[in-house]
Amino acid sequence: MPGNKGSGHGWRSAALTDKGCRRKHNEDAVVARPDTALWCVADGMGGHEAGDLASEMIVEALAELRPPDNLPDYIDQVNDSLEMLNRRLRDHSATEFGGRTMGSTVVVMLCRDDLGACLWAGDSRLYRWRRGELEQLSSDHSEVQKLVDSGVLSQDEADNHPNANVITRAVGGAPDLHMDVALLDALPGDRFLLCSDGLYNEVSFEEMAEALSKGDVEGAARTLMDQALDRNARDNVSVIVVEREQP
Amino acid sequence: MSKDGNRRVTLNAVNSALRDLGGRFAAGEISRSEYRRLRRQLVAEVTGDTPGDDEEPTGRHAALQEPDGARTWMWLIPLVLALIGLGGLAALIWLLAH
Repeated sequence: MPGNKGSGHGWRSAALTDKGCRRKHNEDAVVARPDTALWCVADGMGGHEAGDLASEMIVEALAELRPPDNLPDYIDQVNDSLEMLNRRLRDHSATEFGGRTMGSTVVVMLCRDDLGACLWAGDSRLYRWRRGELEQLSSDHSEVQKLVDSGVLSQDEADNHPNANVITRAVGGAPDLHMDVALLDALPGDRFLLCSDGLYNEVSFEEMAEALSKGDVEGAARTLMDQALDRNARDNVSVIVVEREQP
Repeated sequence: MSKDGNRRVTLNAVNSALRDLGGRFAAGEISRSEYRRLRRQLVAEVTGDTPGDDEEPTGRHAALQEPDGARTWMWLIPLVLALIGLGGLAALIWLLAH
């Protein structure tokens, strides 16, 4: 089970990814860079080779970025990088996979000091745990989320909906990529959770909050991963727990 | 309201504006460059950074730009062409004279 942990520049983080209990390959990929204050979960789609490659290309490109000094430039840099990858994935799909779907959801958290941003496409998520309260900061790009937003479905109904895994946006999914952006603040002691749907489809919101409230970042990430695997994780599972250190 | 509370209100307002802006872009009401410019403006409202020129190169843009050295030798092209022309003219005069 690949994973990495680290600290730097006021951040600590731990990242884990696993193929789960039913899939033969892991199409998820993660990057955790506390030194540049950037974390990302990418959940590839398109089957073995196409999905793996898509998510790997994303995390490799983001891991190599040299961040600028200010947040607006950092957001633009990551956004530009993902738009370029969108074009590369579509070109690669056309030349190597006969135009077959080759893409990946992505959720990125990047920060400059105590301010940051979440950029995402698809249904990989970012949560923030602050003083005992867990809050979802991203909003899925999915068919069922549209129904929830329009009041047709409750969140509980959406979680069990047969089309719960149908996403409406992904890197590589359409000729033009539109990343959603939301700003966030990070106080000392705040914890953030980036994850693929393989985690939140197995572990409840309350269980996530409970896991994030205890131990260090490595322990919290391990607990969440173990909970998903104990339930015969149907999908690949990726977890990154990030903590803003006390000054 | 505390400082944190004030910032939370500002962040919520900016995030709401970012969602609206994203919706306008997705609906084709504004161009990609306009979306980018307005998004930078909104983010800068929170960070206090100067919004800056949209064309200002970020790291990747800078890497894609022509290196400065590429233009420094370009003035040599007309000079070389002029020398070749002069050489040709001199050769023609010599041929005619003989």
